[in-house]
Parts: sequence; C-alpha cells; structure tokens
Amino acid sequence: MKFLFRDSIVASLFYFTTFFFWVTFIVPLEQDFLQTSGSLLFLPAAGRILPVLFFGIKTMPALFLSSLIAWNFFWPYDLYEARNIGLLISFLAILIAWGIFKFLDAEISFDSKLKLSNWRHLVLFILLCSLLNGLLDGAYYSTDVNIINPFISLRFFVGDVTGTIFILVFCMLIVSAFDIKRN
Amino acid sequence: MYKIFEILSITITFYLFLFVIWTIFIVPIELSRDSLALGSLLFLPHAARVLPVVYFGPWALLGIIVAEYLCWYYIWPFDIFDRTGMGVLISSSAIAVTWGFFKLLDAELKPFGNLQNTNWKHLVIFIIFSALFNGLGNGAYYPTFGDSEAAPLISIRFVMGDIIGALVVIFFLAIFRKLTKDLT
Repeated sequence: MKFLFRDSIVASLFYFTTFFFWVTFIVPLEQDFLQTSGSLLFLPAAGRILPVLFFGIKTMPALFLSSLIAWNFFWPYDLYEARNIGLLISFLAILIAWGIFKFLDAEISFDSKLKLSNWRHLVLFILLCSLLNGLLDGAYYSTDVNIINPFISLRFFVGDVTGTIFILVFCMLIVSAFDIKRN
Repeated sequence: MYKIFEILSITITFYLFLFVIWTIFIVPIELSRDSLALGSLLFLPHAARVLPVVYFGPWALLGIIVAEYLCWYYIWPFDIFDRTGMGVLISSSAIAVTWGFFKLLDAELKPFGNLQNTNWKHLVIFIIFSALFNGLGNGAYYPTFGDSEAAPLISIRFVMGDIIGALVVIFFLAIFRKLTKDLT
C-alpha cells in the first residue's frame, strides 16, 4: 500500500511534467494544425506509458486521474477540445497493450525474456501502445468529434512514438549525467 | 538460389490457396450484407502474409508481393472493393515494417530467440503488430486516395479482419497437424 501510494505520486508528477513541457514548448509551435490532426511530438504519451512499464499497471488509476485534471483544468487553449472519452481510450490502449504482452508470454520485466533494461524492448511496447491509441482514438475522433482527417490515426501514432522516445532519450541523458557526476 | 525459389513458390501457393478459400467461402457471406467494401472481417490471406515471413524470413516478402498482385488483379472476381496497387503495396509493407521492427528491436521470432516462432502466443503478437500497421496504413490510404467509400472505422475493420482471419487459419493448421501427424 505504501509503495502503491509512492509510485502513484511519482507517476502523476511525471505525467504533469511531460504535460507542462508539451504545453509550454511544443503546442505553440503546432497550433496551426493541432486542432484537426494531433500533435507530432506528444510528450504526455511518455507520461502515461513509461510509468506503467516501470511502476506497473497499478499506477494506471493515478495516471488517468492526472490526465483528467491536466486536460480539464490546466489546458490553457481553446483549440483541440480534449474529450474525456478520448483520454479513457488512450489509457485503454495502454491496458490492452499491457495485457497483450502479459498474456501472450512476452511480459517486459527485469528478469523475463523481454527486459525493462533493454531500450529496444521498451520501444516495442511503446509501438504497440501508440498503434492501439492511434487506431482507437483516430476512429473515435473521426466519428464522434467529426474531425474528418484520414491521417489522424497515423499522426496520433507518430506523435505518441516520437514523444515517448524523445522523453526516454531525455531521461537517459539525465541518468547518464547523474552517473557521471557521482563517479 | 534453389532455396529462394522454394521459399517463393511455397509462399505464393499458400497465399493463392487462402485467397481462393476466402473468395469462395467468406466473400459471398459478407457481400450479402454489403459490408465488404469497408474491409473483410475474416481476411484469411493475412495468415499467408505473416506465416511465410516468420518461418522463411524476408525473402518471403517478395513472394507475398507477387501473390497479392496475381490475386487482386487476375483472380478477384467481383466488382466491389476496388483494390489498388498502392493498397497491395501498403499491405506488404506492413509485414516488412513489422518484421524489421521485431528484428531491430531484439525480438525476432526464432526457435531460440527472445520471442519464439514455435510459441503460438508470440506468433499472435506478430500478427497483432502487422494487422495494426496494415490497418493504419490502408485506413489512411483508402479514404484519401482510393475509390472506395471513406469510413472512419475502416482501420479498425482492417485490423480485426486481419487478426481474426490469421488466427482462424492458424487454428485450422494446428488441427490439421494434429490429425495428420500419424500419417508421416
């Protein structure tokens, strides 16, 4: 219980950090086409995928709550009305990807065949999450929000992959920098 | 050279076989409900894209492309669901992309790899990835450039059809193997 509370707080803070970085640095550059197409460098995708990988599926409720708070209270623009169902679909995509890997004998952990310490295996999980999110959210936004753009699924997929890998590289650089300092 | 020829012939024959089975048994049922134009929900030939690449390697991709062109341009007997050359290329590319990702990301399906081609669960992961790439690629292409009716849910239908079709074929192959193992 103590670890669940701690991990949930760390995961939520991580999500908020990626969200604020994205809103501050990326959204102003993409404003012209963000409304109809989706961001091409969606950093908060890392905020919801990486904590599930490293802290486990138990952090999902905290992450979902964080994303609801972030999109409903901290999103400063009028454009790109984020629907709560869209957020739910994004988290469902992660849940499905996690389930596929776990139940199809390919769980990613430190002592299984697909390892958490191998960045290639992380990218495999990120790809599946992004593909599912692109597919499901693309279908939802096209039908419900009436944004007719056939490429929206592809853009969601690309945005999630690039955003997550960008944050992953950034985190690796920070970890390396701290190691150098410690040594 | 002989090995490559063998791989290509088996791949093309397997694809042709599944395509004909799909055209004869599945397509008429889906045609009666006018739902085929948005993609079949039981696309058996997807198994013929996945299995040869997993078991024979990248040379099978060439066979898949040849088989797809043969089937869609010369064997497909209906007017509906106009399958353009680019759509065929996207489908084949989806398999190539999936195979490339699995190889480069240290998860190639081998008998003794991290993911094994002898484990049906790992095979299903490969099928899901390839179906998702195919669905996203073709789902974006057809509403934009193809002649078929645009539908927001076309990607999902492509993905579901590919996954279910491939799983049904694998299931039948497993039964076939079990029934015929004493004959050899």
